[in-house]
Amino acid sequence: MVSASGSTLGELIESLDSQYPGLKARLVEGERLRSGLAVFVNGIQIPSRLNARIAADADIYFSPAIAGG
Amino acid sequence: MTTEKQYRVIGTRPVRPDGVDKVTGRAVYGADVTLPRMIHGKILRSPHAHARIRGIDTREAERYPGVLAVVTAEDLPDVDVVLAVGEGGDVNMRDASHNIMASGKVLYQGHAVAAVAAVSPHVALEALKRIKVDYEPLPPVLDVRKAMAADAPLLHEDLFTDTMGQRSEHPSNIASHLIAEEGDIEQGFREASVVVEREFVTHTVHQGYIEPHAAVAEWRDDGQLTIWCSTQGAFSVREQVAQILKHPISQVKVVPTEIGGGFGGKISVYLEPVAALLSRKAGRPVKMVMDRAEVLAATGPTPGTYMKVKVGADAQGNITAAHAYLAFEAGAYPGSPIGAGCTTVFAPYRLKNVRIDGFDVLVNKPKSNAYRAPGATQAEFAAEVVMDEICEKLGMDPLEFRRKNGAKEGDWRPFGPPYTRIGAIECVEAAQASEHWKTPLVKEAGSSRRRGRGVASGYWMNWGGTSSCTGRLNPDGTVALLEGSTDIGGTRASIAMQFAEAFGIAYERVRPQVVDTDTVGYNDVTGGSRVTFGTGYAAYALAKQMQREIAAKLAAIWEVDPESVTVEGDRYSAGDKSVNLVEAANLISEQGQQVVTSVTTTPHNRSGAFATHIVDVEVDVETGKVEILRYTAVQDVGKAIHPSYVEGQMQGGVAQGIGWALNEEYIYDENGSLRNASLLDYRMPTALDIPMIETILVEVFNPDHPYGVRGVGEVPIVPPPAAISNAIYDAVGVRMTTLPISPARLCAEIMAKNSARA
Repeated sequence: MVSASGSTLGELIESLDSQYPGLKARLVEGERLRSGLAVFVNGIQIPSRLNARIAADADIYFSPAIAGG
Repeated sequence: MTTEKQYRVIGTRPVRPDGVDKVTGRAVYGADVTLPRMIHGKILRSPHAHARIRGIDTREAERYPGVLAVVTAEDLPDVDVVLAVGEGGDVNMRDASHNIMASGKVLYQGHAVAAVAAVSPHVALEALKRIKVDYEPLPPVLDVRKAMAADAPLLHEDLFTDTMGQRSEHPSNIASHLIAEEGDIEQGFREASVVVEREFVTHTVHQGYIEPHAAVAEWRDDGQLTIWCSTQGAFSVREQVAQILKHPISQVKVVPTEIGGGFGGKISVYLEPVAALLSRKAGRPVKMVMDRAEVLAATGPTPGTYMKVKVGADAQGNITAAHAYLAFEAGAYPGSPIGAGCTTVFAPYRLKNVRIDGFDVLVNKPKSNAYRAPGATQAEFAAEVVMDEICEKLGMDPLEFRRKNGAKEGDWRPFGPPYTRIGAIECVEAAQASEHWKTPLVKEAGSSRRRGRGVASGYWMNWGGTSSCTGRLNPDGTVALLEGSTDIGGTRASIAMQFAEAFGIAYERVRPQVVDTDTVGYNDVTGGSRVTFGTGYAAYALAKQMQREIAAKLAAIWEVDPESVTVEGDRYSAGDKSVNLVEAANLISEQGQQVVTSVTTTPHNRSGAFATHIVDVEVDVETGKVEILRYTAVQDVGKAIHPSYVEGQMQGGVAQGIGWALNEEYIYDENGSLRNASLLDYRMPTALDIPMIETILVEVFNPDHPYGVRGVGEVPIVPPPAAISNAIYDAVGVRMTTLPISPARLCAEIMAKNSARA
């Protein structure tokens, strides 16, 4: 678990990238998360657009997008 | 177990609206659709598992009497779009396009290379024989471990491995490598008193739906395309067809027929775009129906796997560390359910030190597809057999071990936020309290027969998705309920019951109908155990919205403040005025007004479904045949809306799991040719093979749903293979780590054990 700042998903990833250089390239493709990734904010999956708003003090999880049957 | 709240409709067992039509043959399935001037399409498929296509000559087929159209990959546009298909899984539509019609190379035996439409299916089949395909055969790779080797034949020269967002330097058959890590597994294994590590192999398995794929397409001169098909998701078919054909989605309408099973295999399109292309070329409606061999060889089975699981525990029975290495066969294009395998492999347990490595690997087999809890059955088979061996070494009761280490709210899980309120431990406790578990098993059953008991737990996550419903209040107070969710497991009933409960009327006064994509708002697929949760949630919201609209109309008629109208059950009141729903409907109708309401909801479903199963088996040590003597499935269902259909899901899942455990597998020769593409040779269990499955419903309320519903359809397939393997060990003392545990494999292991003892 690490801490990062930002009011949008994009800002959050920039903050993470400053702490762990290269992480943004692994997470982002254009203006979205890379295909096949999902993001959860306080337990709830949100749209994977970089301008998606992030609530203060939120717990964020990045995860592979899981398919079901 | 029951929740405290009492309901009028929920928890009862009414007759399903579609039942009589289905048992009397009136229901219309995919192959039943017939249109005026309709012709018939057939597909030419590759005899090679891996070959370059040097050329296709269709001229003689085009000239054959009765042929109206021939298509190949050249008739498909180039597409490069990624689309979320099913439960959030991203699918590259270029791969999907190449999968339905090979472009440049064929990648598995049965890969489509051309299609013909003709005046009859027989003429179409004759014409296929006149298509000349010039193949350059290439070496196939059929085993996941061989495909991962650096010198393996490559399926796609432009595919590189993605390791958590980092691309490999060289092309590879490994499409992706996922890693989930928590704590320090090396330290965890040092703290262990016992460590068990085993390797596992499972083979390709098909969903085994009884109804083959079928589609009818009509492409009109104005560009309007209508498709009738058997599918788990009419809206998903509409999106996929629009993307693959680069046709405006507004000009594609999909009419879902009844469906004879899907289990994840009827989400991706195979026939629909091809039938559409043939219809456009021929100027007539085209019907395409697969035969069983095509279904088995050329649709999307669940992958074979190679897995390695290592678990350590201390002397008190606490798990100290766990590591899983999971390599899944994606088939011809990336996209095995490896993410789900990683998520579920250790899901029933509270873990502090864990690492999971997952690999998505291409082989020359059909592109794998979802199958009921995709990826979980394979992964949890491996983990649950290892857990059983840990218990054996510790001398610990396997259910007590699972209770002691059981996951609960707030615990870590791979690839996602911590668990919310779940019922993993409650399921184990219900299994411990079951009559089955408390009844001793008589182990001796004759000179060559041994009996054993096994248990296993399983997990599958839940998904909410987007659902829409439309309700129309009839003048007699009944409601026409329009849905877009394909009814596979009795969901017309379970959705109508939730609507009736929320609307305050009897279930029989709701008429649910599954309609086409032009008639109701968007619905995600019937998959991911989501419909009774997600579309039920929409039906609940619809009922509440309709009540508000009825109250507002009555307020206008009564000339009172809308806020003053109260609703209790089916009664609407304001001051001294009070009417029931029938009277309200009459009043509104007399004013020349209608209540027609639509809602779309996308509820979050952060919960998951857990199950614990107990099985007794009898093994014939001379033949290796395994008989299932008794089976009990315990599952947290949240709230059983229609208990019979929940029990049916559990029993159906167990039946499929038993087939996977004991008999079902794709058998390929060394050239990649499928040798058992019929239901005579691909052995699915029948009613004669399986006893009555006992069910125990545990109801742990899901706070994300107004009635506490959890998805129930998928998790019951997960525990059976491990539970059966553990029972076989209890019976004859051999650990079966390869699926299926066929008589030949089991005999070989028993003989090897006896030889070693001698």
